[in-house]
Amino acid sequence: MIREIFTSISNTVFYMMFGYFLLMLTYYAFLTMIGLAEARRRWRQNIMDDYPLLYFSSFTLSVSIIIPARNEEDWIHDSVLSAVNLNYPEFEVIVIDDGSTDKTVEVLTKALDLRVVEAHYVKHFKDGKVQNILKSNKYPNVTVVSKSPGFKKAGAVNAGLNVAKYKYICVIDADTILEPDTLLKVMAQVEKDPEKVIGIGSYFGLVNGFKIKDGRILDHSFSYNPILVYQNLEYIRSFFGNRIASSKFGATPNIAGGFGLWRKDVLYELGGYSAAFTCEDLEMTFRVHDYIAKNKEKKYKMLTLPYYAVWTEGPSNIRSLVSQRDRWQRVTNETVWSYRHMLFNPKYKGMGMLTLPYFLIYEVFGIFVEVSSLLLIGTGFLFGVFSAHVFLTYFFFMLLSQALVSAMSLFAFARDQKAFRLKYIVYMLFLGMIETLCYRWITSFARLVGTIRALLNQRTFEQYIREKRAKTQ
Amino acid sequence: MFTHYTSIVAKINLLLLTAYLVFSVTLVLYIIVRDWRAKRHIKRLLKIKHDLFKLLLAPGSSDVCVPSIENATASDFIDVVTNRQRYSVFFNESEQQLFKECFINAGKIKMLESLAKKRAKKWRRIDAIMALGYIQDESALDALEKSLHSKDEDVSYFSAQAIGQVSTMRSVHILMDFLKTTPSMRRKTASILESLSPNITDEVVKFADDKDPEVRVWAAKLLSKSVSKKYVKKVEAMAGDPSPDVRAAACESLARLEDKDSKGLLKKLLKDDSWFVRMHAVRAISRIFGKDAMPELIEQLNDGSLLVIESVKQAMVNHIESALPYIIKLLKGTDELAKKICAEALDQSGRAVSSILNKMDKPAKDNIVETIRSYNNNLAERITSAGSDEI
Repeated sequence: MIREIFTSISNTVFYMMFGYFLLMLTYYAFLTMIGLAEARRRWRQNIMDDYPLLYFSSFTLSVSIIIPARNEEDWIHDSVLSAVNLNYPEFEVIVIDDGSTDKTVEVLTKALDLRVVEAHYVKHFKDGKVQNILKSNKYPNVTVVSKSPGFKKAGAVNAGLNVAKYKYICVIDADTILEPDTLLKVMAQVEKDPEKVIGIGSYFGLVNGFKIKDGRILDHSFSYNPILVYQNLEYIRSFFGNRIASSKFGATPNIAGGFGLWRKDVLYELGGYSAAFTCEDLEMTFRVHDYIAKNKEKKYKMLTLPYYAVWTEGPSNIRSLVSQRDRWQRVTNETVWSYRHMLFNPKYKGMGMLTLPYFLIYEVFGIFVEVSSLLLIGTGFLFGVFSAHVFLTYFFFMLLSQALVSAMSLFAFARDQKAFRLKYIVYMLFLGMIETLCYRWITSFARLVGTIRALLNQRTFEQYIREKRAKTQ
Repeated sequence: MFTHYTSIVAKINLLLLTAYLVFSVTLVLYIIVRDWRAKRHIKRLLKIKHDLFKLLLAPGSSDVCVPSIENATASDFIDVVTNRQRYSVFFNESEQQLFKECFINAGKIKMLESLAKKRAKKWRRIDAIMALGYIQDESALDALEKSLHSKDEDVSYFSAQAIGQVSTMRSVHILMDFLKTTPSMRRKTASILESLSPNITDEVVKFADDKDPEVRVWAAKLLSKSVSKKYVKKVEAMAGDPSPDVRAAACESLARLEDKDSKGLLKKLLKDDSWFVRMHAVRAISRIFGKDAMPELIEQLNDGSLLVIESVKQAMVNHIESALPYIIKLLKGTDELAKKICAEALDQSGRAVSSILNKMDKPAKDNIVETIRSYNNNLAERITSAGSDEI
């Protein structure tokens, strides 16, 4: 009797699992093919564009860069210097010290030679209590806003928005190093049609293991730590197997908090970032899609670009990784739930018909399918319901589906990008092949924790614990 | 039951494995071939550089071009004239000039014009379009004008850049027409036109009375690149345009032109109905007349728009020495907003205020410091304790 019930449940789950992986494979294969063409197009545009023309033009649009920072003593020096040394005609850098309890303020004061100033501060958005506004004696275009903690990272970005003076807002993380030409490359796309382009995200890689001095990357030596390689592979899958192609259909899933550029009037109309969610970037992207649908006659666009805009620090151990992914899972669930009205709603075009269904099936419910499949195959095998042959066949199916998605995305990435050496790519292909054996378990666990915490309505923003950085001499 | 499905899944697995291996092997081979081709390309550029060097060393024989140059592609041409591969091979100006001559003598323009018209291979077409631009031959403008109006936005975008490279009056005319007819590309087109200044103004001025206010805005902005007095008068006339955007753009241009005769006009615009115009008028007055215009600017602290007041504050920061007496007077007054703005201006001027105070005699300095202290003790402390080395 029990065996029959188990067999019946197994049947259902098997169908689900099989359908799920096939769907995922088809989705990624389709989007990777589109992404291949779109990434190539952007890459060619990048090679051909006349950046000196943009740099020397007095009509080039100015940008406010906002860097929210809480307890970032290890990174803030390099991050801010990479921003102030950008090749761009006119921009300002606004660093928000979000109640740091470490030496972030001391590091900033030393690097920027700060002084407290009287400054007009208009509170447009929820931001927490602003204590001081400081200006740099060394770099006139740098402002530091010191505030008490509150309203999470959204509050810090909102404080930056409150003092930003330019029409375009670029939000980056405090553990992020900007490529010197990033703003030129991104704004070149805005300049093509400033009335329509309201948001841009760009690809970014992991900075762990690089040699950095005063915000400049001296050596792009990619780490061979499998946790970091898998994260690189995940970013590649996310951008080249999904985001770049989705943006072609007006369905950009996320303009990441690590690097995102927005037109300020849109952020103003939307009331700034929301602290009601675990983190702010995904929700803002969805909210902008809502805004686009409501203003459809204006034909607004959000783009995702394939070139390295910034380099960011990734968690280099399992504990930090779980903490980060738990947070990502929670914000995904919260956002999908809040914007469920977009689902299969033709008004939202690609977002409603492609991206949101993907989020629902893969990002929200996918974790249940993946975990239950693994558990079912495992327990079925242990209790003798399935033979080793059945167990291995289905397990290989999961493993190969995942590996193929990785290989396709990696192909789309490496065709134009020359960042990785051949040896590193072969290493990635190998790790991609065995992802379901190891790394997938860790992220699945983190996603499960995140899902449970989302159900418990836990919306706290926990910063993951970083490993101490080795100083570059 | 599962055995049946297992056999199907096993077949799918085989397919997946094959696909995975195909992708992986293709990727590895692609990278090997790509790197090999990149090396070969660099070698070809080095050979071109070597040949150009030899030709330059043998004066009088520059009309005899060697095959490595004659066989160069549009992409090679762009590499040479723009130095986009500068990290591996760099071409100096005389090499670039000689290469251009050889390329033209080899009859390549016809080949490029034909490529620029073809729709099949988009990026080769764009290579050819850009190469035609860099050749700077006016006869290529017909082909470029056609591609400028292509439905493909990349082809159109790079054609605009190429036309800008040709840099003749006709290219200015084509680009101004393009600016008028293609609203989405106006900013980019204006940047290209700006890079051609000061030769553009004769053509730009024709658009100063266009029906479309946005075209007039760009005309006003581009006229700021003029060196001729007659166009300054035109910009002054545009300051009376019915559209506030045009009036604001005219203020911006007058500021760039540093037109000393425009004070009366700009003062009038300080009373404009639009805050946007008033803000630009404040900025223009501050830039052109600097410290001499402080009384007019200070008056603007009563403006109803915070953005206008913010511009006044910036003017005070930029000319803090002449603003200081007014600031002290206002700090003694009763207008709380004006006091706050003055305090911000003092603070944001950094060490400049401290430096000015240090040059004063003691009673005058003490008087000022006391006034500041009576408003904000911390501010007075910050100013007196600041160094004065950075003025």
